[in-house]
Amino acid sequence: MKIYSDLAFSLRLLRNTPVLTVMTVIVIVLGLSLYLASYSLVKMLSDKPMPFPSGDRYVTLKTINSGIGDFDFSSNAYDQFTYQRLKNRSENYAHLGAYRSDSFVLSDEEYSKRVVGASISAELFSALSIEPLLGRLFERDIDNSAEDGVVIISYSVWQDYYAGNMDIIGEVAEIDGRFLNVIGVMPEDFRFPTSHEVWFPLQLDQAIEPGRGFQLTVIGVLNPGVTHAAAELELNALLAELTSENPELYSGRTELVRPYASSASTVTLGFNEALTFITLIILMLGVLNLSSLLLIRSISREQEMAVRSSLGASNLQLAKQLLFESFLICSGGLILSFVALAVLLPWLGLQLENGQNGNLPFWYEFKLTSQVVLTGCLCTLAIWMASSSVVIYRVCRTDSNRALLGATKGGDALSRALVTRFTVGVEVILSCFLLVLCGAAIYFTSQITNTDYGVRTEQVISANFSLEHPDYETDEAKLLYLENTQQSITESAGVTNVAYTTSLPSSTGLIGNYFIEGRNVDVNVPLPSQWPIWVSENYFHALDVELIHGRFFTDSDNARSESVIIIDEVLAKKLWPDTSAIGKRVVSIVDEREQIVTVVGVISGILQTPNVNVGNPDVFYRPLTQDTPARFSLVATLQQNYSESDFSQTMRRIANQVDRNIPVENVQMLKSYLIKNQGGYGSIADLFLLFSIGTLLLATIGVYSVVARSVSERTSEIGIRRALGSTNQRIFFKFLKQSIRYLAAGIVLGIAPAAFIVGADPSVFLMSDNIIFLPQLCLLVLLFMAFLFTLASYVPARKAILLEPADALRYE
Amino acid sequence: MSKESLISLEGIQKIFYTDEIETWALDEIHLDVKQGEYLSIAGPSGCGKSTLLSVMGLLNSSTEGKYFLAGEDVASLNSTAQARVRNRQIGFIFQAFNLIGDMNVFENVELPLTYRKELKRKERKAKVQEALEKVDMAHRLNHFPSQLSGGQQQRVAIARALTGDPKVLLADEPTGNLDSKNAQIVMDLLGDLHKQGSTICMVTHDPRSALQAERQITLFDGKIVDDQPTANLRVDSEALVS
Ligand SMILES: Nc1ncnc2c1ncn2[C@@H]1O[C@H](COP(=O)(O)OP(=O)(O)OP(=O)(O)O)[C@@H](O)[C@H]1O
Ligand SMILES: [Mg+2]
Repeated sequence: MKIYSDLAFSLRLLRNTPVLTVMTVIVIVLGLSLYLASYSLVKMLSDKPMPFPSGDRYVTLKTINSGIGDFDFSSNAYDQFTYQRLKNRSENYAHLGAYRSDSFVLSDEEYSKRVVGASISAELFSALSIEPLLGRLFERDIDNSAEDGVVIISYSVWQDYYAGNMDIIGEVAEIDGRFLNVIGVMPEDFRFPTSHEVWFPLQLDQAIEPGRGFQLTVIGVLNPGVTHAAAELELNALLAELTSENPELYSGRTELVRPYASSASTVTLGFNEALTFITLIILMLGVLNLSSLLLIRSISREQEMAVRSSLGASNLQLAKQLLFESFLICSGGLILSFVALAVLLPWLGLQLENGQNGNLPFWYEFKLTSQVVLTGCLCTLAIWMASSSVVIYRVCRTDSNRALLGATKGGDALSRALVTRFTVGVEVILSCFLLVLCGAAIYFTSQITNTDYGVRTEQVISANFSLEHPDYETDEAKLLYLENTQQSITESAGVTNVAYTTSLPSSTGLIGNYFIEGRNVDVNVPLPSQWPIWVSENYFHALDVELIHGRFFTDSDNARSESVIIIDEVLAKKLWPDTSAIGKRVVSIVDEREQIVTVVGVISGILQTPNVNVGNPDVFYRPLTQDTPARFSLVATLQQNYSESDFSQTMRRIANQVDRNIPVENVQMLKSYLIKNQGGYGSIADLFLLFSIGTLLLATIGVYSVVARSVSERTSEIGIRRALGSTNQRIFFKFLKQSIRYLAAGIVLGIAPAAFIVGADPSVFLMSDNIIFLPQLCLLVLLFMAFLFTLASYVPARKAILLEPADALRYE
Repeated sequence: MSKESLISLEGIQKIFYTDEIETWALDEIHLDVKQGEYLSIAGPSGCGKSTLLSVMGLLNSSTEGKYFLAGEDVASLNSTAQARVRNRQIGFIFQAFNLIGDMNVFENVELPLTYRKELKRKERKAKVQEALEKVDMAHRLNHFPSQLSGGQQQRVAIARALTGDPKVLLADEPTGNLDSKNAQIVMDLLGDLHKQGSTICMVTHDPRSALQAERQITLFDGKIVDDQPTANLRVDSEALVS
């Protein structure tokens, strides 16, 4: 009965102060849902345990190569030699394996399809202890001689591509032109190592030299009790050995051992920490706002509390009443946060999925998991206790006689003013700090998402295909395929300007080296890198890239004529600052093949990296008629009334006509390709935007309510001052002056440290060292705060001034 | 309006409008207070005493009527000009002291002076010192109100009302929150101030305090129902005692 009457009383109080109640709940919902969203995101990106036996012991190895560019890139690519050495020598792993990821084309009589697959250590595959649905796993590789000519397929490949054929085991599947025996079908939902769907046994070359051959991703299962730090120590000791054997290849490297969940994310080192840090501060801001709002409640109830205490309520009983009330608010907020998350998380998942072509790692889960719910409850408990303790402290400290004697003004104002000053100060400092960080994050991401690639993207469609097939060993065969396809597409209505490239804007392919003919080459300095991209003669024209000097490629650039390249303006300026680049000769080294090439054209420039902040690499555009690689992208311009799906259908038909073994994939508008190629930065940008809006709201509510409260708390003081003859302007001026003091604290303790963090290591925020915007951002935050302060002081001060002085004096 | 009147109220009405209820707090008040007069205002609770004092102190505007202070029609001034009048010509003493909690004694007393541009720091300091000596609180300059007793707080409040050398002191139950000993100290203080020439209007419930004044008006339901020198009352009460 007691509980019931307490509940009724608390609810009545909450209902009587709707604005305060709603604000308090908003503050909790914002803080909690932002924190929990980022918590589950970071968990997925960094250290979520795998759903296998001893899944928390799964790790991935990473390397930091310092000294390449300005940023410490972490890479998870290991060459075969290094991997085999680590595997043979390290002792900390129950299993250590590797895989090589690639895409593969399934073909049969009707149509072909590209899927993501992995060549994977048989040992690792077995270590998962997952039984195949049909058939068997790979035989364990004894002495590294793997079973050959076999494939295991996923449930969905079996169902979708092989129509759930029950006799699939033992059937022959044509994959990339090879004929393989299907030996197993994995259970539904099994995708490993990230989102792969077909598996081959990994074949390694025992005699390979360091640094050669294809690269591997290394996965390990640590022995029980081995920490990540211990494993890192061992790896770096092994690395030191390797470095002494081969300093050129290994120096400057550091090995990291990270939870397996971090293997799929390409974000920069420190991103997760930065995100966690920001959201923790958001949560702190939430707690602070909550405490100050609860404090406001309790202060307005001081009189009531004093009466209760004079009637014999103990401090404990008073505290219980307050705790109960804040518990109601907190748990209401928690429930609403869960509702918000149930909407927010799937939305985030959709954003990420769109950003990554639908291939999300299998452990990504965008829903309210029991862990998120548990964390939410624990957080709320902590928030509730933290914010209530402040309130209880005040209630117990308040001298009830003074509160009852309330008639004497000024008696206890000192401690109250101190509390208020403290909350306003901390609130302003935290808000300034967060707003600068969020602003910087938005700026960096928007820089990436609004990148100008230097090409026309309107109405441009793109598609990918690969001629890695036994039928296309020769350049002639490849060129014939390209020509046939181009002709068929052009003949079909609705498309113009069909052109080819090996790398669309925002990406690069092969890497090589070069030096300028005739210039002295210093043998101690590594040769500069170049990224060759092969394009068809009409490619630049098709994308409206401007020719600055010389010429585009023509028919006459062929295998028998002189080898030619086109470079962009920036590179031309860099290599030949004083003369024209046209006619200059460069020695190009790609795959150990040295070749003299002549510059015949200079173009305005295409951005070949997804991140404008990293800077364009040195790209040599080469005519694909002079030597012809195997993987291509196609670009074409759609006519106005012709849609993406129209083209998609036409393209599929044409591809089947020209050669049904060569599927054409990823038909999409160039624009969406470019967004996707930003590796999820688009969705990160959305995420940051969401966080920033949340923070802005939190800061606005928080600063406004504490400042407004601090002013309205002084309504009677305003009355006194007016009774003593202060003019209204003078009173406004006084509050303005006080705001300036808080703003100064905000600058020194909030804006400056945040600016320092952003300025000192902008790479934590998405690889950028471009911080020219920082002063403007700081100023913007300051102006916003100043505006908020002025408003929050003006409104209640005006209200107090509109009262007659006698009424203001009476005001509680 | 007689020439030597400091305060002259003509037909003052004050109506409070709350939730469609009209409260006639003051109704047709005519009152003249001479320079140097000590007036006490009496009457039952809720009869309008505080409201009358607020109107005289320009803390409440009147709904109807004219108010002349030293010959000036102060009721019709704008708010800035009224603030100036409050600052220079009126000193207010409240029942609830109304000191500002996060200012110390010196700052509280100095406050009205800070609203005057012509005073230099030194002059202000001297005036504050002088006022505090008058109320015997000069030794507590750096204390905060919460560190003072009620009587001490009220003495500081009186010092604050005095520093500006106002033409009239308005006191609303200045002893209402004080015990009899402290009340006596405050009353003596007001008596001394009156002897030195101050004009005082004081609301009080305490008949003994009222006897210190020269003249008493009695309000009932917002109207003045009685107005006579306290000498008469003294006779009455002496008669009662004997
Ligand atoms: N701000 C206000 N709003 C509405 N009514 C008011 C207001 N202030 C005073 N009143 C009303 O005006 C009348 C006179 O109030 P006032 O405070 O002047 O009484 P008082 O004579 O000072 O009483 P007390 O001796 O109890 O202090 C009362 O009926 C009161 O309810
Ligand atoms: Mg009164």
